Amino acid sequence: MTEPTKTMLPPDEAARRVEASLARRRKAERRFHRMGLAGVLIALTFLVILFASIFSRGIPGFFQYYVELEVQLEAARLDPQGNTSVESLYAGDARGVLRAALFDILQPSGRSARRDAGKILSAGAEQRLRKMIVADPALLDTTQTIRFAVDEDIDSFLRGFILRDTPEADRRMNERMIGFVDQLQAEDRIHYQLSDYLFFGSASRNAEMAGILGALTGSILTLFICLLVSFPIGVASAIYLEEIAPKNRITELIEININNLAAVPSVVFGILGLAIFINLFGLPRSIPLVGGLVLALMTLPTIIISSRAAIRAVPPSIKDAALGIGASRIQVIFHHVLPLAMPGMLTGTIIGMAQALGETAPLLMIGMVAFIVDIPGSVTDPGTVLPVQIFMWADFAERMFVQKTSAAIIILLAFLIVMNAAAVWLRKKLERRW
Amino acid sequence: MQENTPAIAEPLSADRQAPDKTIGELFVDNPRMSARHVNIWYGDKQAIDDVSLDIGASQVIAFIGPSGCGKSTFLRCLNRMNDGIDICRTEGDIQLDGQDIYDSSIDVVPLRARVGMVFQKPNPFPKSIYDNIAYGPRIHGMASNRAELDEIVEASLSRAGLWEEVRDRLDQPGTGLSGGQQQRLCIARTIAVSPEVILMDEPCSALDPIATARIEELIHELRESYTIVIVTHSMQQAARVSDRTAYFHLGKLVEVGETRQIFTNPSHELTKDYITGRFG
Amino acid sequence: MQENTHISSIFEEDLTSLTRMTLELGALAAERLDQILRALADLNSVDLPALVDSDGQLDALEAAIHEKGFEVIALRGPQADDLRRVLVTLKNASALERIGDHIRNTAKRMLAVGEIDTNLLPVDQLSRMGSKVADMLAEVMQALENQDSAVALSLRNQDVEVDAWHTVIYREMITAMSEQDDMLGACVHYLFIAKNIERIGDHITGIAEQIYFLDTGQMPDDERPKADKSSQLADLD
Repeated sequence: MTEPTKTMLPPDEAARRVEASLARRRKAERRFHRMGLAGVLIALTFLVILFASIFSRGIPGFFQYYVELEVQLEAARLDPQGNTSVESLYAGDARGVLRAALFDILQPSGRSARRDAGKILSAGAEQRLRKMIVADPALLDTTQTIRFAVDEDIDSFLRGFILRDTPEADRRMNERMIGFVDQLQAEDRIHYQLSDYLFFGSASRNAEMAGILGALTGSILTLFICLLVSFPIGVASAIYLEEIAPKNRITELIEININNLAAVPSVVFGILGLAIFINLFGLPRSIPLVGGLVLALMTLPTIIISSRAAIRAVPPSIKDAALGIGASRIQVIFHHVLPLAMPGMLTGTIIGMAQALGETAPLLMIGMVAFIVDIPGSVTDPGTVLPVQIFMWADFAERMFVQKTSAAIIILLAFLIVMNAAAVWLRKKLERRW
Repeated sequence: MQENTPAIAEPLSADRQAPDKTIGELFVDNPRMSARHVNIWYGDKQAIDDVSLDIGASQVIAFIGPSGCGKSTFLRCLNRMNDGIDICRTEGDIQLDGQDIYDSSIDVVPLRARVGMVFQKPNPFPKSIYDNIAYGPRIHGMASNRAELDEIVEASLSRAGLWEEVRDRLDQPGTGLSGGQQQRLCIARTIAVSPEVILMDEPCSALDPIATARIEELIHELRESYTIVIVTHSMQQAARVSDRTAYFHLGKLVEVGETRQIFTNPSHELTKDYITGRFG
Repeated sequence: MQENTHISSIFEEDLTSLTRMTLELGALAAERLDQILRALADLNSVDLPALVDSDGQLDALEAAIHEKGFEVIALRGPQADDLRRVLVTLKNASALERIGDHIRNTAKRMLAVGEIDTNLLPVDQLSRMGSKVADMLAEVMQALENQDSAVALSLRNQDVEVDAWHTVIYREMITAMSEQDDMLGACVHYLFIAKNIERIGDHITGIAEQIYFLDTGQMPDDERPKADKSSQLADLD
């Protein structure tokens, strides 16, 4: 036997060396552990700061100041035609009724005093009164205690953004108005309560009347179109690419391009939508239909990629078993592959939808930035979406808009969290163990 | 489709060559299936080289041989499972009851109901036990109502020796059974479509010895009604279970014969070396 | 005997048929030994030439057992008790076939001796020796069927009697041969007949030891008593 040129360590020497190196290894691992912990803590800290700032700014946005008035709902004044129709109410003098109620309390003397007093009420108060009558005509000829929103300047003053100390010339409220407000407060007529405008109001130049209902409806309609278009096409494409397409250069090319599309900036899809849907097909701008189509283009790569991964995760043994029994390719796909891949596909879709919910740039490109007061009734009515609404509100100077913007951001975040939670729940519920 | 390209074994030293002509009794009277001059390629590599063989009716024939010798490949061409592999090319004449199964007019779907397959790793569908068995008859339209389907399910499970164990839990998932039970479930599933031939690709390699013994006894019982072809890497299993044995080596069929004769007195050197463990 | 049956039914059948064939072979041998004993009493009562010719029956059956045993080992892979059973069966079949050969040899020599003056020859002792061996054969086949290793052990001891008879007959024949020259041929035949019967006894003992081995997995370790001193007799005058 030849002499061995390489020797191995005897066991006890090896054990000694392992023991010696143990201290160094443990130290390195502790260091790594601490760095990881530090990273997590820093991230959590930033998260806490972020949420704290959003909530501190946003929570007040959910509330508004209201003034309580006893209003005499004279039928003759409010409903001159006597049929509580919309035309009659508009012909009537709801404004006068309200001012009467207010002046009753404040007793302003002189025209300028009355003008100042009138500024206290929100401009939307009379519309609110009309809506109340339409909803319940029995209220006519009764006296009701109703709360109406105060004007945005009064609201800002009450929150403390307009200060008494500021010289009168620089303030938006004069001394008399402040005096009226003090009087109302003394009579305990000023109430700080949950804003019903935020959720049920639509876009408005008046901050106290501004709400997200229009934008929310627009978002829902847009997402609906997006889902309707992108889910079937995405799932079908994934099935085709994974199961049916032959493995050749063309298929490879398609795959590479789809993967790259997922990384394309979303604004490019907006330009694409502008060029094709609006210029080429002549569809109107700013409707959820077009918005949905653009978002669908953007979401398709996400859905295709996650669906393909879900399909690939189906064990080939199941497919072999089905083929061996005599199922055709299509039956294998629809009876076996799809049901097993569906949880993954749905999760990917929901995540794609959550991303689409927050998209602003491509929708700006197709013009969903218009100031639209009416709530869209269908996908072909002009509308806007929640992120765009937030974007527009952020532009306005009034303090109240700042708070409502933060409130809307909280609502948007809540939506995203709910959608992601739904994705997690769905995955857990549908996941099968095989 | 995913590709399952098997490894092709390295060639032996020059002095051990497979014979040009297969030794032994290749042909039987009234075979259920017959193969003549079959060649199979994976791309450029030849996996099966000029194999001719008869599969006798109501018999068990075992394919044995070292890894990469082509036995699984040949098995899969009997029910055209190789069709799903793009780079696999099959030549030659393979007949089932006198009909060429590679003829362009033949639809693979009913063929696979007549020639069923049981795989190495038990693969029940992630459905209930009942639905596992009922799936095949349903898609082939073999039962016209629920009562007939129930009968088929009970008969298949009984034949596979599983009925008594699962009769009270037919709606529970098939994946909840033990390994041996799952494989018997897969056998029952294959039987449910009333095949003529059952192909088994190393059906016991994932099972413990007791489960294996039960499946071998099941094969013994099934041979009266079905023709069975079993690929196994265990020679002992081939000895226990089969009537005829075929030894494959590097894609060639070296020797075929009655199992008793192959294991007591094989004719070819290569067969003898493999069986006695002197291989390589 | 194992309580449970094998999962493989054909394995179970194979083992059963091996045992059955061995018992058949034993029955054949016992029946032929019986004929020899009757022939010892009355030469014409048995068709000895037919007995000689039909020895091929036992050879064929032994070959069949051998083939079957070979097949079981090759195809079923028996372990533990099953393996011992197969090996023991092969050995016992061999022993029984040898017993058959000894019977055939005896029959041939009896034919050669023919009608002889029974006064001179120890026919009586031979008969008693032969009866003893016949009893032993019946007992060992019973022990084989019931797998009774206790009976098997006791059989070893019974062979002492057979050996003793053999020594007696041996002395007598040597004496007779030295006293009467004209009886030399007959005496030699009788010597060989006695030897054949003694060998049958040895084979039966061997079968008994195999039965013990089948049951316990070990050969009986104490030396069995031997009383055959014929090979040690030097003083023959």
